Amino acid sequence: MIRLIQGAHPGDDADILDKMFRLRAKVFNDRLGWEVKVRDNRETDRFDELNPLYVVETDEKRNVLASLRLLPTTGPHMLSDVFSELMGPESIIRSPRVLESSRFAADTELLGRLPNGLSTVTGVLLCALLETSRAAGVDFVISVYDVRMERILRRAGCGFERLCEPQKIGDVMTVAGLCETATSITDEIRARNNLTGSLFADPAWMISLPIAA
Amino acid sequence: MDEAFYALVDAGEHIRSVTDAHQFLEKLAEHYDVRNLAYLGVNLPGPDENRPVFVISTYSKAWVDRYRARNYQRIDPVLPESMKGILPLDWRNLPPLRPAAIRFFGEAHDYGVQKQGLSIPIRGATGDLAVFTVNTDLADPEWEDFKQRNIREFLLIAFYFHQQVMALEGFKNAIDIRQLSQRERDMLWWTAEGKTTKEIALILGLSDRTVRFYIENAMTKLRCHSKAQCVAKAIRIGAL
Repeated sequence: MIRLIQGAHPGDDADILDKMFRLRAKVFNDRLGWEVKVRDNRETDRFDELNPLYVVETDEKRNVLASLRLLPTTGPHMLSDVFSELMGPESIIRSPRVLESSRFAADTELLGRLPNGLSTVTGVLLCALLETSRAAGVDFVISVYDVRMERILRRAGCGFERLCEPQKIGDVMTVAGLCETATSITDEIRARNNLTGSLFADPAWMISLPIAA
Repeated sequence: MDEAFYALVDAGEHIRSVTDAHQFLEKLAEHYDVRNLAYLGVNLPGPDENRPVFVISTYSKAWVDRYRARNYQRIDPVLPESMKGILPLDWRNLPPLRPAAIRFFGEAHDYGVQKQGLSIPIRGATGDLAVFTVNTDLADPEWEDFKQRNIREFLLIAFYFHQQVMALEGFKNAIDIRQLSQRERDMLWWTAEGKTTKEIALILGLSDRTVRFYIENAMTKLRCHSKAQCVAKAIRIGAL
């Protein structure tokens, strides 16, 4: 199930955020070898201090299966403030109808035992991301990611399209991509992964948003 | 989105004073047939850093004065709650209200504040933060329908209005959001050549979706309602 957690106001879900930062350390530092800062087995960066919205998928025991981070492009975000070299300095995107997703992480150890585990969990997370964004009046989600992610996204039925040629940043082939929040996209992800009904732990979440998914 | 919407947006570009801004909100409220519109900015950079908040609204003067005099920001749950997040907040989804907040809404209603509200948070590039609120008296089903139809426009309006207030406050945005990227210029150039989205996608080896994304970005930057208008404006301001 999906939880939407505000970074600076996690309420009852502080434990889940803590588990998410540990998962991120495991994924980005240990497995993918990104140059990230890890302290106390937790990975955070300066964008986590800007009160982002986290989309987190948990199991019934509150284990974090997968997570990502959402920032408005009207404010500081990674494509404009860290990876501007990818698309050139004048390509800064500032629109209230574009959100940026970053730090997508999935716990492959927890998922390894399930058939199609990774692809289904990715599908649920991305579908929730797109449905939430669409309900909030957002047309596009952009993201900067490791090209190794593309295969996982594709298998889940979620086609992010490249906005630029991949470039080597540090040791990582990095690319900026784009996904539309249209129902045609979420329908495809739902069909591919047999998803029905609400994906959200708290049914009130979709009511709080202007457009029911 | 219709012509009237962008005519309004154009009018918004001519805001030169707080009075202009106020009149603009009144025109918008009339256009959307809503009772009130309100803007609150905090952390605005600029010469007057001693002003902690910048408020402009169509609420009655009596209510604004009363709110100030009684320091109602201490019990008004809408602003803190909407500033917590990045997505628009429907007032029906405020957390359970304390008795003081219930009394506050009761009193607000006596002064013309209606029950339905959508508060849109705006986070700027320099730590500036604002909330743009739409307030009406529609019944639940009509309100739901109204939001669905208009939320995308309100997101843009809220963002544009915030930019205007920043300009009004003498703050020049460090990044000129009206500067087009090479990709956006390419799209407009091919559009000016009479090419459709599909044709541009073929020519540049991109997907339709990516072409739509760049064109929509260019239109957001230049505040235009059609591709043709966007091309014309890009030429006029020397961006193409």
